[in-house]
Amino acid sequence: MRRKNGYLLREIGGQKIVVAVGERTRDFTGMITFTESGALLWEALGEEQTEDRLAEQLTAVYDVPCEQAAADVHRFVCKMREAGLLDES
Amino acid sequence: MMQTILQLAGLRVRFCHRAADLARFGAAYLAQTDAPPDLTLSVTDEEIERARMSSDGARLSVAGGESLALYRKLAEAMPLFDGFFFHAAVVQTGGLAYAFAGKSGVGKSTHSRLWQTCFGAAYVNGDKPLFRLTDGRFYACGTPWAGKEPGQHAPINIPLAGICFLSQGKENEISPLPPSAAAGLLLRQTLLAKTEETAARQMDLLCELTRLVPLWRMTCNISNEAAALSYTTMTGGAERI
Repeated sequence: MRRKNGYLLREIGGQKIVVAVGERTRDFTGMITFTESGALLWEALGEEQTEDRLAEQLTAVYDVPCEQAAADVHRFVCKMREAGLLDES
Repeated sequence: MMQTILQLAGLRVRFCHRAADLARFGAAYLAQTDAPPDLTLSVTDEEIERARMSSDGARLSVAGGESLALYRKLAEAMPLFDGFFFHAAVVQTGGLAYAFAGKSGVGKSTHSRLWQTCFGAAYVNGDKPLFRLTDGRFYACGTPWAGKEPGQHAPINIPLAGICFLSQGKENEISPLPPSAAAGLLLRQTLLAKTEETAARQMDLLCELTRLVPLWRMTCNISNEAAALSYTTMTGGAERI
C-alpha cells in the first residue's frame, strides 16, 4: 500500500495538516490533522509499504513496544483506508 | 485583447482581457509608470464560464465573469509572491489593518461598518483582500474586487495587526485564538493554489501568519457594544493572554 498522490502535508500553527490539492479536491475537501507519529507514517507511505514495515519505522523513532506499534499502525492504516487515501493495488 | 496594468499588493499585474472594463473598474489602481509587469494573467473561456456561476444561483455577465476569473488567477499566483487571497472584511485605523472573517451572513460587513461609524476606521477591502508578507510583516492590500457595494476598497497596503473570526451568539465574547486551532479557519478563508508547489508555499505562508499576526475568535450579536469590545481588544486596549 501507499498513499494516493495529490495530497500535501504541511504544518500550520504547530499542527500537522494534510489537504488535497488540484484535481484531488474533487475527492476530498477539508483537512486531516495528524499527530507527529501519524505524520511520520504518512510520509513513509509515499513509498510502497506493509503494516510490518510501517511498525518498524515507528519503533525506530519512538520508544514503544512492537505490539503497541503494530496496533497503532493498524489503526492508522484503517483510518486512511476508510478515508480513501490509500492505493492498494 | 485589451491589456490593463494594475498596481496590486505592491506588484505590477498585467491583465489581458476582452469584455471586462478593468481600466474603469480598477481606475484607482492603474499603474503610473512604464516599468515591466511582475506577472501577466489571462483566462480561458472555460474559466470565465465557471466564474459566471455564482454560489447563489445568479449568473454573472461575461464581463463580470472574466473579471472574477482574472482575480482568481491572481489569487492562484500570489503565493509565488509571498501573498494569498483571504476572504474577509478589512478596515484600517491608526495605520494598522484589522480583518473580520467568518461564514457568509455572520456580520463581517456590519461589524466592519460599526468600526467605521463608531471609531473612524476606513475600508481596505470589504470582501476580497490580498495579504502579502513583505520584510517580515504581513500587509492587508486593497483590490478593486471588494464585494457587492461600491466604495469598499482603497488602493493601499496596510500592516495587518489582527484577524478576528466571528460567529453569532447572544453574548459578546472575544478571546485569543491559539495557533494550534487556526489551520481549519484560515484554510476556509483562502483559495488553495492548484499546484502542489504553490499550495505548499501558501500553507507555509499561513503558518507564518499564525506566528506574526494576532488571531482572535469572537461570538457576538450585531451591536455597537460588540464593535466596541473587538475594537478595544484588537487595537491593544486589553492584554493578550
